[in-house]
Amino acid sequence: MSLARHRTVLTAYAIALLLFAVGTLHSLDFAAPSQLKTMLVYASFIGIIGLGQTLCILTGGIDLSVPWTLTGAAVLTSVMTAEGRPLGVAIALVLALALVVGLLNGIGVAYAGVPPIIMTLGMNGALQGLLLVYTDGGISANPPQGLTDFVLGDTLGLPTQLWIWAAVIALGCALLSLTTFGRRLYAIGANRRAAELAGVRARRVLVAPYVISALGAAVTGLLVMGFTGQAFLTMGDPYLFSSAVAVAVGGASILGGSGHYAGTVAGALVLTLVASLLPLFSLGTAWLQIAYGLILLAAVYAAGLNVTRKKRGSPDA
Amino acid sequence: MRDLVLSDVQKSYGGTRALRGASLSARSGEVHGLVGENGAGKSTLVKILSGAVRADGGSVALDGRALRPRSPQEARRAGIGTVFQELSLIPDLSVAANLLYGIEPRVRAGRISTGALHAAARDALARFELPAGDVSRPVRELRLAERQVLEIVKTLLHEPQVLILDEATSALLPEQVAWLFALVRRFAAAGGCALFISHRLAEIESLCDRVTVFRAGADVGGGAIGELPEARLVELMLGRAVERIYPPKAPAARDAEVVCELRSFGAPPRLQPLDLKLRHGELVGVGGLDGQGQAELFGALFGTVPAAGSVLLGARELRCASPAAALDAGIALVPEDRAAEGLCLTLGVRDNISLGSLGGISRLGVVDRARERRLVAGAVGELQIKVADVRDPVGGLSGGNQQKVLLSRVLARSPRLLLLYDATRGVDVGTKTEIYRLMREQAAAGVAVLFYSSDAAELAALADRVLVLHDGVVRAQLSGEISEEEIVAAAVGGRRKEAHA
Amino acid sequence: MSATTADPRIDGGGRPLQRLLRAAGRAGLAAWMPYLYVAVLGGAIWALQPALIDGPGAVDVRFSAVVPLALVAFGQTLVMFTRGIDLAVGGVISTATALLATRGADGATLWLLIAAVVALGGVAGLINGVAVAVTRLQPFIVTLATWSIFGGVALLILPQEGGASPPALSEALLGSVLGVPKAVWVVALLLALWGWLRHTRLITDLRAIGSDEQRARLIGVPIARRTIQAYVLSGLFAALAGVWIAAQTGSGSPTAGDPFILSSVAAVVLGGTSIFGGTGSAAASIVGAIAFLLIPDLIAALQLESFWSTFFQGALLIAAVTVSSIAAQLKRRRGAA
Repeated sequence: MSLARHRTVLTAYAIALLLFAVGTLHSLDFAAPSQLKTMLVYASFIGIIGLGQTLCILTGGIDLSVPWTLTGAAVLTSVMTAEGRPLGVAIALVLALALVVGLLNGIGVAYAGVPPIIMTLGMNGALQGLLLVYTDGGISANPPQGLTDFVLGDTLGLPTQLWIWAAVIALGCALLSLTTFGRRLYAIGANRRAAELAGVRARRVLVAPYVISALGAAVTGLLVMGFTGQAFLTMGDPYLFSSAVAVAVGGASILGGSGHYAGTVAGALVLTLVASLLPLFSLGTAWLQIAYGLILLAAVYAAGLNVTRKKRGSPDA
Repeated sequence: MRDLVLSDVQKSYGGTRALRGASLSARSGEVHGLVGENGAGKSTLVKILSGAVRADGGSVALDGRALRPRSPQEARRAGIGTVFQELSLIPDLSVAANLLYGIEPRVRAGRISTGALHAAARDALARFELPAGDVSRPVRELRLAERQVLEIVKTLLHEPQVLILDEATSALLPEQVAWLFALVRRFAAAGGCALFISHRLAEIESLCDRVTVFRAGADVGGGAIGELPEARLVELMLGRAVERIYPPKAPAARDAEVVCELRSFGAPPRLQPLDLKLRHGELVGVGGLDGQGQAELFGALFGTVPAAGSVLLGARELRCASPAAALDAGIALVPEDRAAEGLCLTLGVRDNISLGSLGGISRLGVVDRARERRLVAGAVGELQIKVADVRDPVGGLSGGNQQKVLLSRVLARSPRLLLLYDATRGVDVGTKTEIYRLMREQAAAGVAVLFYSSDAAELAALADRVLVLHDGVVRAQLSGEISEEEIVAAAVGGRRKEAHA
Repeated sequence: MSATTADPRIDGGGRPLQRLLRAAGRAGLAAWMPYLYVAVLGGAIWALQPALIDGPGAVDVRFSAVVPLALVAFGQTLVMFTRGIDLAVGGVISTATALLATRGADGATLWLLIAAVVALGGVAGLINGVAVAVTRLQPFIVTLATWSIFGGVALLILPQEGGASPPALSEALLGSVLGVPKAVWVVALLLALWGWLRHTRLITDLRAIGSDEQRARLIGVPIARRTIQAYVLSGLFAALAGVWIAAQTGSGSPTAGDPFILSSVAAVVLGGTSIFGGTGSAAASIVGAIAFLLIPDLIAALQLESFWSTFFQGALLIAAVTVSSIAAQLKRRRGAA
């Protein structure tokens, strides 16, 4: 009974397992602990940014401003610390700016009624422009050593990065499953009018997903920079697709109202596995991009069918 | 000969049988009236004839040939012209483009000449004795009456053999109704067959040659209009047997405590200010034809429509700008359309029930699972909601059970003013009985209960007092022994002398 | 609205002049906005740096830049009439430039190549259209996915920026005819095309779909066919834009199309086409494209860093769409009362 209820999420994990099996059959190295750790770390970037994207998509929206929010956070931090500001201050400042970006997106969508796709597309462009102006089109600063050490370090035998993701998973699942906010979010996504008539202040609730998405993107930017040891202007590009695809693979309906962060976690694993598998078959980044598109189409189509099934049985529908 | 013959037509939506063997025969050259209560199956019949839905069984024949349109175009090509109740005009297209859609003059290689289009539109309007004026205006800018006139002209321009008018006079002024009647008579005189559907019996009497009465999805009588006095029509529409499903009435004493009072409360321009006192223990019903300001009254009380005047609930004067504010002030609403406005169909029964009370069953934003379980279990038990697991999606339940879920969500807020907008429409008798019992219980417990119903029988048998609205004004206030006939008469109009109480 | 105040006539009546004024008011500020943008931006640039407007070659340069955006915006307008959006134009443009930059061609083969590239754009649009019309998924998610797919295809053909488009291509498309830059001719041609197209059944149907899909079905608009046609046209126009870009830059880029997603939507919105479907004009979108591309010149005229233009272009999109969304909300509220 309970298994059937979580079918879409379980399917995503099953696909992840299947892909893992394919990789292991191809080469036993695929399952080596160090390889596993690396894959999990890559998945964690998509996973952390995926929380906000999950919330946006649950309400029937999307956040396309993720790439330049992510890049902006990384670049600003590296430049500020290079100028001698303490790392803590730089991070606080960057998170505050991300908060502003998220608020602007959220207010535009919730209060002004701008379609999320256009609001966040415009925001992405505006952020790109600001950042290009700020950096003069290139970056020379290195990321702060403290951050690199923190991200690359281990805690209790596992990369610190994974502990952070674990915390985000706990937070995300709790937010959706245990809180009134989560309940209201699902209700708005399922039927905004009904939610409002049930007393949900939909506009107020709708701002939060965009704020969380912007904060998640900023945090991911810091972590990616710490992990790769550099901040660069195209570092955010892959995360637009990967975050949206991870949510869709996780079973969330793009129509809103159904899905869970637990599914997005599986989606992040699937995407990372696909990205690790393709090189084994000598398929490069171009094929990865094509694969993402195909997976996205298949996932949203399947999720759409699922919602139709849930709605059926009502004579009014 | 353009006779339209329907025999034993059947249609079900989900589990609801909208038409259960309906027959009708309209002859060429006549105006045929179709009357019946809300939900009698008239709209479904129109949808079948116009190709919007397909019948499950039975047959329709035009000119002796079987008619089974699979789309609106097919119906139109077969000679069926329908003036839709909800209109079929595209808001952003111009008057001319709407009028002549599909029959535009001078189309060459897909291109329509605007000049010719506008000229043809002006010409068409002139033929129907209407001033043409600016036919490039988008329909969005027209008034409702203007749009209704346009819809009628548009339908006639396709030169149909059968003309169906579904509540086509609801928004028209008297002189426009006269204009329409002249058109319809001319159409019939030229050998056409017109099917005229209206709530207004006076219009049926003055326009139609013969009439068919529908009740509960089937035809129950009919004949030449001269042989059917209005009283007989009403009797046929309502049927005789009123099932004993209503709880006994409990009219309030003259000096009973006033639990809620409206003072020159209105929602201009659709609802004129009205005064109303709801007393302890009484059920007050609102009736009238569709769209006479009832939706505005309930919307204004619940904060979805801008309101004027004041509401006193207990000792406090309220002004609610949003449903959330209304709920906080103690006002709750069971909305009209369960699927569109009431429930989140893809979510579980539990989530739907607790959605309205999340503030009360949570601490610091975290839902208290134990309190939620008690709340949901209590509601499921009290209303006997049949569900295997409260986490199952509401969309999978029967209509009656869905309505119970909605009611329990609303009642979980313990409102002091309970509004129900046609809460029993499309619900089985068992659930209806349950809902009536609850309404009585609430009223007896001191909750002010105001309900709208499109079913005159329900209003008559359930309410202690009935307000009949017409064009935004309270036309009649009935109390004591209320009969359906009184309500219908006040609603369909013509008898203003009874309209005082 | 109360029936007692309803005017039985279709028109409010009045003299021709009054009617004209009413029509102007109805078209509203929205219809004049794109021209206003161009006038204000152009005027400001001219005041600051006249050479940017009337200097030698200024018109040619400006219109060369306008052509691809005008093409994409034309197609995007048709899609947005139906309440849709086509994000896949990014991938289609990239694929087109990548193809042209990796295939040497001359004379007749060049024209064959161009025809093939444009046809491929049509096929891409067909995929989008069918996916949107048949699966009933939201256009933005369908075209987000196909953007990724077509972008991947571009990357397969041309892994990094470079290559060389056929020199004959640049010769064929750049330069002047009768003393007027070919770019100007193209824009004029597009405006003429709209002049013809706007009164066709196709455009009426697309508007009807975006305005009220339920009623459109009721009056017999072939919804699926028209939706597919809109996306096919958008794909064709995007491929044509790719051809122009390849001619202009003499090379290709697997990401050449990505900026056109934002800029085409912005051009359409600046042109006053409603993001909620039903109304608008492709000609106005072209004017919107011109306005959008004046921003970099204004930045240059103000002697600001060129990167500011990216910011202002994004900010302008947000501002324009916020205004139209709030207007739409007010309209809906008025309509509901």
